[in-house]
Amino acid sequence: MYVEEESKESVFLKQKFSEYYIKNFIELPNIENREFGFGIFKRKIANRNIAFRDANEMNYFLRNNKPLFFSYSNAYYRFPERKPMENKILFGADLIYEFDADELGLEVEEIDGKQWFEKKHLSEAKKQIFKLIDFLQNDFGFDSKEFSINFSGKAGYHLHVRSDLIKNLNKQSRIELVDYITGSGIYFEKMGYDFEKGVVAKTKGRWIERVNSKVKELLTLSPKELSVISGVQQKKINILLEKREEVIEGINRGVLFKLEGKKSNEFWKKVFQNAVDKELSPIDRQTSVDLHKIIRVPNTLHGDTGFLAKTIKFDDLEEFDPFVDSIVFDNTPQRVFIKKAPKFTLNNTCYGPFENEEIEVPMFVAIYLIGKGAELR
Amino acid sequence: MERLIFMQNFPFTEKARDFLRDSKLNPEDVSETIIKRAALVILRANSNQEYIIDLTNSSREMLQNEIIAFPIAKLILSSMNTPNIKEKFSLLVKKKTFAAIIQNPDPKKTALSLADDFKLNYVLSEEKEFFVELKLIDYLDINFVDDESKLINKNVSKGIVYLSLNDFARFLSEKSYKKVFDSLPIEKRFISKIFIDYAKTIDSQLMVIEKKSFDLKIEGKIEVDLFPPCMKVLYSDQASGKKLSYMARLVLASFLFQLGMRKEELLSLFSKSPDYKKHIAQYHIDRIYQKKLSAPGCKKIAEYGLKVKECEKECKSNHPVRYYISKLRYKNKFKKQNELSEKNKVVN
Repeated sequence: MYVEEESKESVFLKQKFSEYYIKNFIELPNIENREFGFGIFKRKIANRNIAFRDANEMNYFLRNNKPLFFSYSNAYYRFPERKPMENKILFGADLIYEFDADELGLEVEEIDGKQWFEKKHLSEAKKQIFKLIDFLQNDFGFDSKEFSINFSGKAGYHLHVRSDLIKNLNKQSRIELVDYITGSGIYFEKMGYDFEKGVVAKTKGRWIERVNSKVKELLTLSPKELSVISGVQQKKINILLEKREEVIEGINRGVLFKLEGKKSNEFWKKVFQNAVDKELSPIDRQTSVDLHKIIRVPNTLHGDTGFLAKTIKFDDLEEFDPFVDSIVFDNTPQRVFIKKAPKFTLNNTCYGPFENEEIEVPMFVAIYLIGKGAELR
Repeated sequence: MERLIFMQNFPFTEKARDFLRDSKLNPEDVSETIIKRAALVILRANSNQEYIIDLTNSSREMLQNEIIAFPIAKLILSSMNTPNIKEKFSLLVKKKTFAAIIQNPDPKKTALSLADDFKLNYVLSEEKEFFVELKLIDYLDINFVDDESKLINKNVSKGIVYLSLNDFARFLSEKSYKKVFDSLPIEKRFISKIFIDYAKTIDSQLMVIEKKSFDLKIEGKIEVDLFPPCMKVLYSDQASGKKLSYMARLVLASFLFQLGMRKEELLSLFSKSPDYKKHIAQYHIDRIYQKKLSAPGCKKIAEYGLKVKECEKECKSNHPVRYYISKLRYKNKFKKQNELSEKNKVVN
C-alpha cells in the first residue's frame, strides 16, 4: 500500500472529489470481475489489485477514499484482487483504444513539466476517434452499439468495445487488430500492388480502397508538395499532373501511370506509403495490447484537471467540447497562487496569462490550476 | 489409402484421432521403428528442418507408423527440457500442413477437407480473386506465427476476411500450429517412464549441439553496420535527434548495453533526444546496467511496433543480438581469411 504525504492542495481536491461522488453514482458493467486501482495527488496509480462486489461497494469507496484518479482493468478476472497477475485467472477482456493529444505530433505548451492542452489539440484527438470508428465498423464489422466512448479527463479519448464476440481474443489477435488499424507491417506487394510492373491492387479490401482513394486525393496536390512527398523532381511530376484524369482513370482500372526516367517505382511507393500514413489511426498500442493495463473508469474525475472522464453518446461526439462539457465543479470563488500559466479557456471564458500571482477564480478553474501546480490560498 | 495419406499429412486432425482410438493402441507397445520416427520428427523440429515424406510407393504400414509417431512425439517432447521445443514442433507441423495442401494434386479439396475437420465456418467466395470467406473473429483464432498471415495484408471488409487458396492454406497451417501448440505439453501423469527416458536422451543430445553452435561473447568496437534493420533505424533516429517512444528507447538502450556500450556513450547518445533530461536518462540507463536488462526478441519488438519492413527481407534471426553476433562472426571470419591470404602472399 502506497502511503500518501498529504499537502493542503491534495486534501482540498479530495474533499471536492468526495462531494462530487456523494452526489453522483458511478456505474460500470461487470464490476465484480474487474481489477481497480487508484491514484493520489500527482501520482495516477498508487495502488491496484482492488476489487468490489458491486456498484454500491465501489461508490462507497469513491466517497470515502476520495481517489484523485480511479482506474479499472479492461480484463475480466475470477479473482481480481489476487496477486500476482496469474493468480487472478483472466477469462476475457474488452477491447480498448486510446488516443492522447500529445502523441499526435502536435506542439503542446509545457511549463514546469505540465502540459497545457488547448481545444485544437483535443479536436485533433476527436478526429482520430471518427477515423477509428470507420475501421471498427467498416473493416471489422463491429456493431456501434457495443462501443462506449469517453473523454479521458485530460488529453484524449478512450473507446471501449464490450462484446462477447471479442472478449476471448488472445493477445496476439489484439496485436493484429492494432497493427491493422495503425498500418503496421503493411506490404504493398502482399496486397497485390506491383509498382515496378505498374499494377494497382483493386480487390475489395478496405485498406486497398482507403489507400487508392487517398492516392487519388494526393494527386490533387501541387507538384511542389508531391515532390516533397516523393523526392522526385517537380519537372517529372508536372508531366504526370498534366494527365491527372488519365492517371486516376488508370488507378481505377488497376494500372499505374509510368513516370519518365528510373524513379517511377520509387515515386509511387512513396506516394502510396504517404497515403497509408494519412489514413492510419494512431492509437496507443500499449493500451490495446496489454491485457493487464488499468485505465480511467468512465465518468470519474481526473486529478490533474478536475474534469469528468465523461461518456459521450456517438451522436453527441461531434459537438462535444471537453473544455466545457466535462466541467463539473461550480463557480464558487476560490483563491490560488500560480507561478506561471499561459492564456487558457475554460467554459468559454479566457483566463491568464498569469505569472507569480494570487488570483480569485471560479472553483472549476482553481481545481484545474491546482492540478497544474497552483497553491491553495 | 487416401484416408491414410490425409491422416499422415495432418496427424493432428479429428480423423487421425479417431483412427488411433479405433486401433486401441497402447503407447507403451509401439515398435522401435515408430519411436525412431517420433525422435526424428523432434530432432527435425529442433533444427527447424522440414519433415516431409515421399508418399510414392509408401505402404499402408509406413503411413500408419507415421500417424502413430505423431502422438508418440508429443509424449516424448512433453517431458523434454530443451527450450522452445513445443514451439518448434508446432512450427514443423505448420510447415508440413502448408506444403501438404499446396503440393497436393487437388489442393482445394484437401484444404476444404481439413477445414471441415477443424469445423471451420467458411463460405466459398463468389469473388473470382478469392477462394473462401471467413468471419474476422474466426480468422483471428490463430497465433499469427507467420508474417504472411498478417491481417493487415489481407482483404478485410465488413467483418469478413477474403482469402485466396494460398492464403487459406496458410491460415489452415496456422490453425494446425495452434491446435498442436495448445495441446502441449501432455500432463506428466499420462506419460510412461519409457518416454521420459527417451526425452532425457534427446535433451542431452540437443544440449551438446546447442553448446557448440552458440557463443554469446562480444568484444571490440560496436559496429552499427552490423545492426539488424530495426536497430539501425532506432539508432539513426536517436542519433539524429528524433523523438523516440519510451519503448523504443528502452529497446535500443538494452540492445546497446548487451553489445557492451559504456554508460557515458549511451548517455551521450540519448542526450540528443529533443526532450532530454539528464537525470531521467541517467536513471533509466543506471537501471538497465543494474538489472542487466536484455534486449527483447524480434516477436516483442514487432509487438511494440518497432519492426521495420527491411526486417522481413534481411533478417532471419529471432533476436537482434543474435543477428549482430552472426554478422560479427561472419565479418571476423572473412577478415581472418583475408589476413591469412595476405600473409601467404608475403611468404610466397
